[in-house]
Amino acid sequence: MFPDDQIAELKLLCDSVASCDEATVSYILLRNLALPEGCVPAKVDALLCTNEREGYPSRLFLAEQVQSPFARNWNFNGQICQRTWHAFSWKVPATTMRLAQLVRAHLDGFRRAT
Amino acid sequence: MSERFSRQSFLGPDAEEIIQGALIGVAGLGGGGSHIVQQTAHIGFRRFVLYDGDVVEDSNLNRLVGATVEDARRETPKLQVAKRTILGQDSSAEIDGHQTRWQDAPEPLRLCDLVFGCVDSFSERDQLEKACRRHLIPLLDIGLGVTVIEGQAPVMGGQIILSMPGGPCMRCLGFITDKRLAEEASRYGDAGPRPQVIWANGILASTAVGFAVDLLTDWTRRLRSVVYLEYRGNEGVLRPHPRLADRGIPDTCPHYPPSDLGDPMFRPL
Amino acid sequence: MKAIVRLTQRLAAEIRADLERPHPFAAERIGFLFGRWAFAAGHMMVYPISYLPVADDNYIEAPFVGATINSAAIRAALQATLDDKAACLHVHLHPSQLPRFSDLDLREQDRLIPSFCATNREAPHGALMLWGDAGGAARLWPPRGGPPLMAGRVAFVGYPTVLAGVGQ
Repeated sequence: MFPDDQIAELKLLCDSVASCDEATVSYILLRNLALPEGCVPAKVDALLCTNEREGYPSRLFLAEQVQSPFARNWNFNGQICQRTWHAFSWKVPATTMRLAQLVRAHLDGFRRAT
Repeated sequence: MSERFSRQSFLGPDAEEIIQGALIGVAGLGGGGSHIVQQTAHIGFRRFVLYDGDVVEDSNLNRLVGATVEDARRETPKLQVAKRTILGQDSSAEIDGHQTRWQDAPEPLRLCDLVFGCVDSFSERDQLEKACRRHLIPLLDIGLGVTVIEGQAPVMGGQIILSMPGGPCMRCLGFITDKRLAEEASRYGDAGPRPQVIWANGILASTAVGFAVDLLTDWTRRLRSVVYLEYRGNEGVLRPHPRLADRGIPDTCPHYPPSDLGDPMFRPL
Repeated sequence: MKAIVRLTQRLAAEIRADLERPHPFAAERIGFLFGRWAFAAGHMMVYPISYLPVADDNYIEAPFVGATINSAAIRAALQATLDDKAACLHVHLHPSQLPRFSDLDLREQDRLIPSFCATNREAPHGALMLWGDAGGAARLWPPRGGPPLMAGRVAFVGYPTVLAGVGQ
């Protein structure tokens, strides 16, 4: 379902990549995704959802509420694929980005004040 | 059947054993969940998995069954109120209680034979339904809301939904929608106190408990399809939701395929 | 560890419809279930999803035994277990007067089920017996070795939801 070349690009951002399905949605698990400078922790497991949910065209969930230079509005704290995930309000407009670009676009949420 | 439950002998000769052997989960022990705990304990259920992280406050006393003024003063955990209610009916009841959201201690929920969902948001319902579907657990969801519109009488409404694995889910029924989840996410943190009253919670909880007993004992021999009831509080009416007449509701749920069952499989890419 | 098996009433009805069919010479029929599993709070849960009947031709005429199946039937079940990375349960019916596995059942399971364990070591495997109209019992081997255990609960989920076993 996810192109091999794009998966290869994702693997440059984290330790390993896996996928999991729930309620007809496929999620990409990124183990130990490297976060932008200033984030604590520096690496965290992340779950990328490329389907629209909760009004977001795509979403990057993180295994914990990361401390970052700018305060974020964490508006999701719940279970997906039997793990607890957190996400802050950050909308990446729907585009045809490659998966790694999409992850970086979501991580930009840590780099900007708003 | 024991004398204690002799008045419910019409439920069937095996009902007492069925009820006493069933493990039921209750997620949320507030206005709705406290009723459910009380009634199921009276009926004879004695094995529970309970979740709620909140404590009793003054504003809960108008509807939290079993809570007292002293509980509000002491900030007694709602879990403790629920345990007290159950143990008052059966001092040997088996209670696996968690003073937290179910998401923070999810494993005991997966052992339940049936779960009552008494949670506050569409997102919570969505997650609870996913967890129950993954482990083939029937979920009875109840909810109540009061909409205050300036210049008009408030409108009270609620629902009871039995989400049966394999059958229509809350998305199939149009109750959980992406639009509702998005609106809720946009209001995250701004919800404020939600109007709630004991009589309406009681109607919803009692009806849900009735369905639970019917589902397990089959005493009516009529419960054979999806349950989705709408409560119109202003009129005092509880009726099948008009959406059930919609021919678009599938018999088999397309949102939760069988491959979703069990612990999720993470496939290395 | 304790064990639970949950399957839908719909699947149970499919199984019964097949297993209740008469066979030219076998006294009873056998089938195989494939499904998923989970572990939680000291329990192993197995969720059968699909059913594979044993074709009439794959029964062996054998006196004094309810049903004996040939190696082709077993190979088909092993292959499905491998292909789907599934948990597999051997399934048959008992009349309501026999609500537990017989000694012969247990011996046959001890002989057969380890082959499934070797085929997919990551999944539990075992045997399910449906008895009477609404009863069930299951014996399960956990993944990666370990002795079999009896399920404390077999639940048929649907309208109604029937809970067989005392619940543990």
